Amino acid sequence: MSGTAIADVGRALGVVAARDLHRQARHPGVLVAQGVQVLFFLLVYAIGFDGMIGSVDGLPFSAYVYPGIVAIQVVTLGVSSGLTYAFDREYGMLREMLVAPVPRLCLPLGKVVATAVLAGGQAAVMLAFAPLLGLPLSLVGYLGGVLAFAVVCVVFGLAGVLLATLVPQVQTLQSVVQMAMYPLLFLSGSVFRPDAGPGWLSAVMRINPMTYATDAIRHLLIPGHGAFPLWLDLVVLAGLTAVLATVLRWKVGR
Amino acid sequence: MNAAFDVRDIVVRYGRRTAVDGVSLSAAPGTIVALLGPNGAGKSTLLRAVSTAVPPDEGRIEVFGHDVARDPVAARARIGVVFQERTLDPDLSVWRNLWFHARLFGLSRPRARARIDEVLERFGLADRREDTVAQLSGGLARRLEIARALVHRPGLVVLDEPTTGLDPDARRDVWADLRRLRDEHRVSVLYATHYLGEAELADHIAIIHNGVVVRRGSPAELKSGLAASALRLSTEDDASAARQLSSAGFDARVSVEGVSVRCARPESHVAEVVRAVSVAVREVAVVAPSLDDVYFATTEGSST
Repeated sequence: MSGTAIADVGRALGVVAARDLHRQARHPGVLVAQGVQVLFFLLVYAIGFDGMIGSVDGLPFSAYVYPGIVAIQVVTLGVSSGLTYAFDREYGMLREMLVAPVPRLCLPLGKVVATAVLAGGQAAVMLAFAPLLGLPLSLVGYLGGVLAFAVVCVVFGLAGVLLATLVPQVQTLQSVVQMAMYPLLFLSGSVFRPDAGPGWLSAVMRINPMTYATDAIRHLLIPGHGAFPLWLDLVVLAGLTAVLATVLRWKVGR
Repeated sequence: MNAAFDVRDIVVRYGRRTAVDGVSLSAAPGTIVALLGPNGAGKSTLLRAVSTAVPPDEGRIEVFGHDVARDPVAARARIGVVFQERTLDPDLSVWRNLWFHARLFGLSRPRARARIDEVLERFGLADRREDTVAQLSGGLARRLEIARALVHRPGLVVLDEPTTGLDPDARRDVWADLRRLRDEHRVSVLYATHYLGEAELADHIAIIHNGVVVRRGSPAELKSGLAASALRLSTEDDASAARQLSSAGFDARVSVEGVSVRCARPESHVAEVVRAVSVAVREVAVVAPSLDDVYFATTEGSST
């Protein structure tokens, strides 16, 4: 790809993402609702369970579970890119974008970029409270964490938009996403260790890609507390990204 | 010079249904072409294929020399599309909708601002720039869609039933805009309609039925080529006149309105017909068929 073509793709991604962010800014209620949801998770899991469970591997439960709670928020946001794609298709806006002189892949990817920006912003706010829950972070750890959550959002955003291209009806897509979200989010090591449950549960968690995302972030934010080797987490996530991007490229055409 | 669009033997299938079945059609820059046909004839599919939204299963489409299959991005840069259904973002302002389009079509920020001001002015939307699309009437929203399709200055504008749901004033405005584009900027216009009156505004009409172009030509050519055209005579003795005309080889019939002589290009047969009758002729009238006659004769004939 030539330099001009790369610049064109970058511009197109920026334009699609800017539109989504602009729309988001016009509906601040959605952001507030997401903030309340995070607060709820914090109260229930981090603070409520803290007194009951005490510590995990020598860490306060709240500190151990905090990266998982942020991951739940970020992955939810990522998968929701698929819904914004489906709504644009439902209400006709996607048609207009499909006849624009940009590679088609830019349209779903632009949406993923927009949610990654939102996810990065939300992670930045949430991680700023990490020290209060017994998880002190260095500046590098903090910035690395924000970036890592944005990357995780991209991976699951790709899954969301791919799902949207595979399921033509918005209502069906919403049902599929709703059905998939709970096992995806909660059987991922986000709120308990992947090896803490019975064998069958562990096996299920090992086929959940979010398990590796949560584990990689835990490696980053709480060194030494990952359940799997970091290289395994990264290989699984990189492989998943490559497969999702390839299938998405094939689905949306040129 | 390259044709504005050149469609060669294209076939588009949706599963087992063939929506467009071997259509060829082309137009020089600065031409208005109408696709006329009933619902489900394949008009919208053909427009989608030309605008690169749907890839044809067979055949080739070029837009200003760019093959839409091999280089869809270059072809799209020359096309402005107005879809049948609304494709505006109702939550965003008029200006923001245009801005998104302009930037997505590759205009730099300063150029996008200038072009947006230009089309807002031209389409009488300048004072509505900050209104959200949801606040616009159907007619104004349609104008905005046409304005948006022109922001990047395409050479070809493709419109699918552009005036559906508009009141007569808004319709008239849309057609005035499209003709002005052709006349002032040599923009080619390809549109689908099932309003016969609107097809008549085109330079060239292709009547589509069951995915096939069944008739094509200028509105005048289509009308004059139809066997429904006739000369109508009022004579002192219509029955005798009809007999005399029939024996002279004309297709003549007596009706309550007089003697009807069906023929193509009736205006060129007036003298022959009058000479062929010996009874006194009071009046001769050329009965030109309307586009309705052409349309119904074509679509009814091809559906059997």
